[in-house]
Amino acid sequence: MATNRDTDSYDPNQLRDPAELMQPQRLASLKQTRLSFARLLMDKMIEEEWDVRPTRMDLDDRGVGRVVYTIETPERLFSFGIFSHASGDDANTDRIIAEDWDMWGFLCEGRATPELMDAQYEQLPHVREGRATSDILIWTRANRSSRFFGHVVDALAEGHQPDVDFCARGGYLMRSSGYYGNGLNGTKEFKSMDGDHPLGKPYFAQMLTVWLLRIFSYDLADHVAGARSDDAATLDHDIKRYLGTGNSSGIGIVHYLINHPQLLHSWLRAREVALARAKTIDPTPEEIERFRTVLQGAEQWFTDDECDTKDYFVSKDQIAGGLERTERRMDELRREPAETPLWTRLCEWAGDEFDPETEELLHSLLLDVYPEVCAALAESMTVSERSDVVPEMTVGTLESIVTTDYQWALDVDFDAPGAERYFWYRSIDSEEPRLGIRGEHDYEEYGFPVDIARQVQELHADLTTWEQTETVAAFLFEHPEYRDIVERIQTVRDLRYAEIRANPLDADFIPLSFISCLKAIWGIQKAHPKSQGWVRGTFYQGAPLPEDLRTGADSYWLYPSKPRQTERWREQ
Amino acid sequence: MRLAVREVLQLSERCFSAAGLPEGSARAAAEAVWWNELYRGSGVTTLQDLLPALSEWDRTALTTSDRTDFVWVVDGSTQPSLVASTPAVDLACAGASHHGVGLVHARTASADETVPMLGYAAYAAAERGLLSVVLATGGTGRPRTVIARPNDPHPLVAERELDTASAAHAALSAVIRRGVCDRQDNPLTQAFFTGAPESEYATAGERLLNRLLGQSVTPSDPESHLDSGFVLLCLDPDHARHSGDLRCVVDRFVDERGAELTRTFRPSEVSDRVGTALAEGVAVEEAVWQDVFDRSSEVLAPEFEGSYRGAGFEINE
Repeated sequence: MATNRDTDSYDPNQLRDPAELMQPQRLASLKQTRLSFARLLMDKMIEEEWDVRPTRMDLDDRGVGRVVYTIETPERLFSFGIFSHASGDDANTDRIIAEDWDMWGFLCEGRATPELMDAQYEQLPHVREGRATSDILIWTRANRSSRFFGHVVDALAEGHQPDVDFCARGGYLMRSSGYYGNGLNGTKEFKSMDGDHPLGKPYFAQMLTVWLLRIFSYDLADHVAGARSDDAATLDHDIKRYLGTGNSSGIGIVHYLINHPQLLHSWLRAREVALARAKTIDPTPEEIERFRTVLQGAEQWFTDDECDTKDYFVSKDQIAGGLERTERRMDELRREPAETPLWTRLCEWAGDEFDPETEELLHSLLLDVYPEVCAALAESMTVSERSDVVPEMTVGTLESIVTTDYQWALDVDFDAPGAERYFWYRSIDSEEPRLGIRGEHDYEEYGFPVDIARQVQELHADLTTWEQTETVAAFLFEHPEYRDIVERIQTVRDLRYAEIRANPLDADFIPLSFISCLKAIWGIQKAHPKSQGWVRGTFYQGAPLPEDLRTGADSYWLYPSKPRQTERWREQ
Repeated sequence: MRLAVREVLQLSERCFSAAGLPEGSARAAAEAVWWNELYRGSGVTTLQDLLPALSEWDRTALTTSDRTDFVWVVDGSTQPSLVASTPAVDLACAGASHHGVGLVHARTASADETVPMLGYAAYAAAERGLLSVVLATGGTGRPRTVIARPNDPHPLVAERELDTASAAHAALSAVIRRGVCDRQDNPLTQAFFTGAPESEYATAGERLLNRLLGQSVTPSDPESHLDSGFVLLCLDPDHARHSGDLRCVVDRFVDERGAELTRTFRPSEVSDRVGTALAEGVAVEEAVWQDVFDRSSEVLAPEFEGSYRGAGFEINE
């Protein structure tokens, strides 16, 4: 096998078969990579040394009031306007139907003037009917972590640092839930951002907001502690680096991934191409040592992580054990003469030996060694979602596509018990996505068409009764109910990673797989399930702080070690 | 107030879905609303006007009364033209792709407020790379002709409003009334071939198209009667059936007879409008938005007591 140092080419045969990758269990195992949006944004912030500072901090002793951060990039100025509350624990449900939050905020272009703050204060609480302006990129909401925020403030007010081991169980002080942008509520449309716009990549505006929440949570903790005691300490820089921003996501992500097949394909394809390139590189000794370093860092991080993974994720200890074995195996493979590149052999071994989660983590760490194989791929992750029917296609061709690309859907047994247990719908209550049980619960008539496999089967049954030479236009004239699924099939025809091979109607369907997949694409590092349909997690643990950006931060910040003074702080 | 482009599309699609249109048809109709907003500045307002009648829209009420390989006669006499236009575009495009020409003659409801939105049908066909002409009469507003030609980044669209149905509409309707299935000739040839010598264009296809365009902006005899409805004609300019440069015929027609056109939307002008709409949103009266918003909300399930216990049974408990 040839080794590949050409970062612009790859062997298409090295890309994984969608029959493997697009299984829900496999997608649930994906980990953040260099191509995750949080990391791409942070790379840009570091490279361009963005200047982030609080320019308004009007808070009372409980931390209630208004705060503004300004973000200066080489091209533009942005502001993050915050309305800080103290809602109390009972209100912190994280569900979008909640009526009270610890903060509402918006990210806008230009300055968050007092007039804009006043206007948005009236609008932000109204999830459905509230109105942003077209220079606002994101609305967001967040809650203080009742456990960790309180602990940190108490410790600081007493004049010492918090217990890092305790804080590490969550890894954050504030937890965001919900980002409204790209035209929602009148916010700025993604398409309107020109080529030089600093946030003109998918999810950059959201990920900047996530990071800003992290900074705000630290400043808020310092402020509340300082108001409580003149002798209060301020949160140590190393602890700030070690912690991140919490995030809570639910079943709405299932709708999202099903409704955006082109985006899903482009994001997964970029990752797979990068991996295919990296695996065929014959590593230098320096690259091997670099891999060893990231491997050991991740191993320690997973060893330290005490989050309860319940039955849905592999235990952190098991992952850490796998990484330890990987290092040993790498050294063994180095000594064995072989024509196949080391990384290819190591990945094949991992595929045979490990659970999918550990294997995918290994893939992620391998990409950490080769930023150059990811660099050009970032551009391929912004794609058009344009779709249209191809009316001149013959029924025979369409049927052929269905039987080749959607055999997985045709194989779903809808006569099996529980195969159609659920229906999916949205409530008028903040448009919260919900599940109902078919035949038992009301509102089936409001069901959303997330049932791709069932639609494909019904389409296929009718296609087979038609003349193969007839056009799709003629077919759709008689069967307008299939226009949506036909358009989808024709649009994603050549996109191998567009369809997740799952039946969301099934009693055994676990939404967690979809949620974990998208969170990995966003760039979440730590994930811990609250239930099979609700995942909490942490972004940006280890990422630079504003002062680090100004002084030139290291571009690799993943899997941070606990601060060296953790033991001493615990004893305080 | 201002709405983002995404909101116009989403609100419209939800209104049509709430009215019972299938998902794909609802989305296509929503795109017609957006087109009407972008090109005519009245998409959302028109949608508000349509809200009371939406529940009577029924895509399955369309039937075909006659057809050949590339000519379809659609009876949608109880439905507005917006319901008929989506399948009409598909059929005409399919015909043009396979045979060089696709033609759909549709009867629609006489009380039809969506006729001004028919320009979207011509636009949608041009987006697929086809030359297209819509000839419409009946319903709200004056009879009209819309001509579209593929271009980058948006099709060129030209519109002419008339006092009576166009001569082209009358001529093609006469051919359709005589029956299309038992005739060998292209209905265009039947309608527009004169046999008279003409030197302006070198090929028969160019001459035929030029005559069609000319008659599409010429009023028909006021005494002639046409049923409410439209004709959508699509031509694949690259099809082997055609000789000559059909695109050039359209370009020359629009350039030389621009004074006869009610309005012409050049690609660069449309690009500017799109850019402005994306950057600033579109202006809508709050009362209009409220009506549309309320109707769009009918796709969402009402609140119920269990809402506050969990978002999914056995999922979030």
